[in-house]
Amino acid sequence: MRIEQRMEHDMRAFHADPALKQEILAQLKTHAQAGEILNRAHVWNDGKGGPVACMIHDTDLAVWQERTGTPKAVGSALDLAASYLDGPDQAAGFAIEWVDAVEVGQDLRGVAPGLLAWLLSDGEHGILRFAEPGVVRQMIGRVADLHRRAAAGDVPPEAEWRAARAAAMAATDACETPPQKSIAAAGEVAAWNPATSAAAVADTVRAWVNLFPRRVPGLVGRGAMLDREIKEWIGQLRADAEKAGLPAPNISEHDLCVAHPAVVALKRSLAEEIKRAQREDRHRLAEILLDLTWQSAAPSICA
Amino acid sequence: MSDKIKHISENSFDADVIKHAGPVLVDFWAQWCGPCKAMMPLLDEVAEDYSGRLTIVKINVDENKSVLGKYNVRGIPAMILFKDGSECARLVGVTSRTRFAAFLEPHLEVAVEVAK
Repeated sequence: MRIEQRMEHDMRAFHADPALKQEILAQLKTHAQAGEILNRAHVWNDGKGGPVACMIHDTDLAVWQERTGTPKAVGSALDLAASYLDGPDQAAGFAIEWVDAVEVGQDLRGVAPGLLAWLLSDGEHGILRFAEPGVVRQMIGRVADLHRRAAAGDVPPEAEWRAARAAAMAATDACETPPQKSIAAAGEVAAWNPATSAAAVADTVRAWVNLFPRRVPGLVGRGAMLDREIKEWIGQLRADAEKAGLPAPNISEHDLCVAHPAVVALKRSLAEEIKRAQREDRHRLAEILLDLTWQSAAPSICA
Repeated sequence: MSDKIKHISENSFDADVIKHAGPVLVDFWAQWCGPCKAMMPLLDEVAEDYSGRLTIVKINVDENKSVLGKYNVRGIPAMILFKDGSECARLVGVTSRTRFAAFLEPHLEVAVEVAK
């Protein structure tokens, strides 16, 4: 059998064997009941670990691919998505839900490029949205197109990925401001075919997660803005008093910005709001991975 | 971990790295180091991709402390690329697959494309 044919044959979830799916699912559930599934990626220690490790008792993604018939890149995405959930129980629930969702014999090769296309170019949450018009925006769009093609079953030649990578690095290096550089770098790390690089999938997921403040700019900057406004207000009061020949008002910036009960309460509520938004943001990864898995199963159900 | 990556010690450093023919990438790591673990899937992938062109070895700095001073390693993960027994490039900290490839490729011989 030629290598390509063997790969084709091997790239069917659970090697098209329902018993293998049940075995993996049962093993996951046993680990879950024992509290051994962790919300950590690429970890296997003392019988505990991330979802991938709990399925194969190893952290090597090549072993995962061989045993489950599922691309390495999907294993990497699964572990990472679980690592951003609130705790081990959520990671376990997600891992079990994901394995349950995978059809026996399903071809999951479109899932990782689909995920990267989403991370890069989703209209609401994608990295592209935060790039200023110009070279960086074009570069991210170009990389996202390659992933869309790969997700649709096309096989963009390696030369196209290589050219996209070179252009992406040049675009990142040419960025003059740190925010645009971090956005460009997030596009740059995605310029790999997920079929050959699971590490690039992990890099892109991390880069997307780290751009969270960009997705909620109003929330993240509000605490500092409040401090600035208070300081400006105190400065204005002092200037007005001086102009009127009155003694400077006895107001401490520390008392107002740090210790005043109203400000403390406001900041606490802001911090909680940010935490909630971050939680939703991170949970979105797991939801998207599940959605893409279901979507990729749909054609084989209809066939 | 890829079977193409070998664990070495300070005792075997000379034989495995300095006297080794061809480029050798040494990963200085420790069990407690989270970023070192985060780099492991990337290293596995690189070991497969550059198989035959690059040898990758790992050395645990807790168990082989002498190498830290000898090679001036002040933070981990640190990757040092040796060629003909001398350091030719160094990378410290977590990096992406893209930048890791850009770091390595100028020092490696171009792979010959095999006609399929």
